Amino acid sequence: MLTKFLIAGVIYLGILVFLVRRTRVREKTTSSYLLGGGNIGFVIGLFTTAATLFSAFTVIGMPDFFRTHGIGAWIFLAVSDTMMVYALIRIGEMLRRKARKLDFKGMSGLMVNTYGAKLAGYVAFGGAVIFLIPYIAVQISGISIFLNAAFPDAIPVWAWSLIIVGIMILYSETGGLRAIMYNDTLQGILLFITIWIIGWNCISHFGSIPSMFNKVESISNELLSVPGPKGLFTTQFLIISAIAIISLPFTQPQISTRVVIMKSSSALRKMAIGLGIVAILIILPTLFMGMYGAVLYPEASTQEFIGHVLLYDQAEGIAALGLIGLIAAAISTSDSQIFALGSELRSLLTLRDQKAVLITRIFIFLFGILALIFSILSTEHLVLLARTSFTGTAMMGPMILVGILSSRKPSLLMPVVTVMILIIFILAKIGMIPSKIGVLEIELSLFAILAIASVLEVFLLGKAKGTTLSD
Amino acid sequence: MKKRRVVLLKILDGLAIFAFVASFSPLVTPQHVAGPFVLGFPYALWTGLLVSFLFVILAYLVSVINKEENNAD
Repeated sequence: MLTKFLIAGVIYLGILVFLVRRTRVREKTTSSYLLGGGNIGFVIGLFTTAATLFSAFTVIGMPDFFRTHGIGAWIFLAVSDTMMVYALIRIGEMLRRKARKLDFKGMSGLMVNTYGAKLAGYVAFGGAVIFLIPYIAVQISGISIFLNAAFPDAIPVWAWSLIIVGIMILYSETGGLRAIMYNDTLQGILLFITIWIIGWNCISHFGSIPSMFNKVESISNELLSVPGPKGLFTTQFLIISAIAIISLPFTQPQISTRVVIMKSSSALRKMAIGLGIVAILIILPTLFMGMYGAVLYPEASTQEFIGHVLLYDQAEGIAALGLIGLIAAAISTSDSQIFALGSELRSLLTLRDQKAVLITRIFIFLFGILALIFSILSTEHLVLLARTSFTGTAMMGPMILVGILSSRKPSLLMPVVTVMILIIFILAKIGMIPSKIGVLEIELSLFAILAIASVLEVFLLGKAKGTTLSD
Repeated sequence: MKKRRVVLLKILDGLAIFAFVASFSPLVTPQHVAGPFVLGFPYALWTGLLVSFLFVILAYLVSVINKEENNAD
């Protein structure tokens, strides 16, 4: 198996190197290096956004989520993702208009210009760093631990992490966003093919989809309904997750940048619809993998289950492809997130472009190193940490949306409230304050406060100042 | 023409809000109920699949309505 993995790995790396050489940016400016030339067509836009969105947590976390918590995982991710597509198509165009008007370099910079106050930019940047770095780290560590388990005699876990971060930094530094997007396209296609081959094999084990669900029902009826055997998918959990995921195109900078740099509004619309279809098609095979695991490996650990479904129960060639697909999924999301953090920093800098890009490149390297250190220290709780990351950045959603949709400068109410809410959210997550207020999960209470603040801003403070929502 | 476009968008937004609320109600996700099964799929899964397709269709309809609109290009 190691030989086949190495052959597949060399081919994969060879294609990566070829793409980096093709997309290499000699004169690195904000436009060419950080925004990929700002002229992205529908196909590349679709694959890069999909690869960025569907990370290791989709390949490892979702099958395990389906196996452990049942079919409610579909509502948790697939339904929420298609809701996100609707939000993207409704608000994406307004974001693009605002971005064109205010010389977009990153969401943080856009917030500074929109609110006319640096605080708004610092909140957007700080929130992105705090919530994205641990998410990047846990993906890298998850894949590294898995590779180590697959090849225990090869190299230690930290060495796998180092290789993954090294590859990411190398091609991000060399080719910039355009290289990342082309590599994302390769990785997206690879992920799609791999996950469907494995998903199909899982159905084949049962003969048909109805017999698969019959078998699952005979083992645990609770897996076929919400809230699932462990009671995870409560209505509150699903609503919080949906709000977090719907906000992604505006709160996670690696996605909002892609929305802004699409070649045309028509390309954006096609990309959004394509993304909805791809979301359904990517999550569906993870359902089959999860149901397979629920029947064959109900008591196994995540590692053992993923090891079986991706590697040991597959033909060697498919298993090697599965491993590469897994690495590709982790890399394609993490590199985009690290790079986006760099772009966010750039958007806050008011230096000469060449100097600002140089500082940004240094920080992209540092963000990579920071993620590497965190990945060596962290343990893996992929899906739940990903959800915390999404929810944390979603807390910035109302501030960002008010900024995008207001036709005049809003007051500082939203940035100030958002800072307070983020602090409360972090304190609740580390257990320093209760995670529930009455019967309500703290996230819902915080979203409600943000909604009230947004209404106050738009309908009271905004009216007093003449602020209106643009259509 | 613009008025008609605005009305149509409001209808689509209304449908999206309805689908959002329905997704978290017993209509789509009844607690502890696996049936009725359709093509072997348990209830919350096939209704969830329908909702997913509905949102993609709604997004497509928005794109059709907004096609003629002035945009950021």
